[in-house]
Amino acid sequence: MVTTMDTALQEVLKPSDPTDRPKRMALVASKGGLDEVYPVLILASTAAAIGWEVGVFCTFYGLDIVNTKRNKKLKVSAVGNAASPPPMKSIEFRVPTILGILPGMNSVATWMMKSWMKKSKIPSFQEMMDLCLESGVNFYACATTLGVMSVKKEDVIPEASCLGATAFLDFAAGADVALFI
Amino acid sequence: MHIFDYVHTFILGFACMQGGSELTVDVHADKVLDCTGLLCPIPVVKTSKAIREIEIGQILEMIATDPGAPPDMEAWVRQTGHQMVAQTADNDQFRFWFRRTK
Repeated sequence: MVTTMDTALQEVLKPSDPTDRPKRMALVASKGGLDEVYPVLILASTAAAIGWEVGVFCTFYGLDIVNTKRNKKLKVSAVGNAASPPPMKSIEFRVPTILGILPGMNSVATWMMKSWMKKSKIPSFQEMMDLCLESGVNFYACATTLGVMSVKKEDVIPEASCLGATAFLDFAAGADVALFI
Repeated sequence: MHIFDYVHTFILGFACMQGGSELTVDVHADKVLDCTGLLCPIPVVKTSKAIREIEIGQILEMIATDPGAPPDMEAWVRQTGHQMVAQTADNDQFRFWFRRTK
């Protein structure tokens, strides 16, 4: 009789099998260039599609992903990128880095990137964002960044919640995959 | 049932290696998803959506041209628990047949 009760109690107290829960991915998005946010959105949407729980912590320039005042105008930087592409794929000619400082070069680089993405049928930033939100990706706006960058809470997309590092680490501690992008 | 599927996949895989493009797969698909010309992550996202639109046990056929599709879809099967019944590679076109398991 006692044995039976013990067994029943053990059954209740047994820790839940970690393989039962969906896998979890914690991403830190720290950059706000158009080319730099795509890896975040691609990984997040893919993980959500295969049933993973995804949390994206948007910090410093990564906050632009969820900042409605800025996320429509994400740009590719023309400077500081040694891998900057040639203007035409057929010509092996790299734009001298110094030309990147000319006015409007960021817009040119952005336009080029967007046209290549369109040609290869990659969804736009907004489409990728919608895909992530529809599939249940959680976006977290870094509370410190809101303060440092003077971003108003109402400028952050309503789906994103405001977190500090501690709350994000608490989430990330249970993650199977954690990446800093 | 399962053993048959594995044997089936094996035979098809073997046939793919031997015959390549002449291979025709005789699997009845309940739904066909064409991801021709689409790159990662869209084929995986669309496949995940489409598999929920068929009944458990039914077959989804997916066509892709993304060169990353074969390893991606094998990983998708491992992660989602659905089953890959068959796959073929014909030049740059890949076709997959998935059975919804849950």
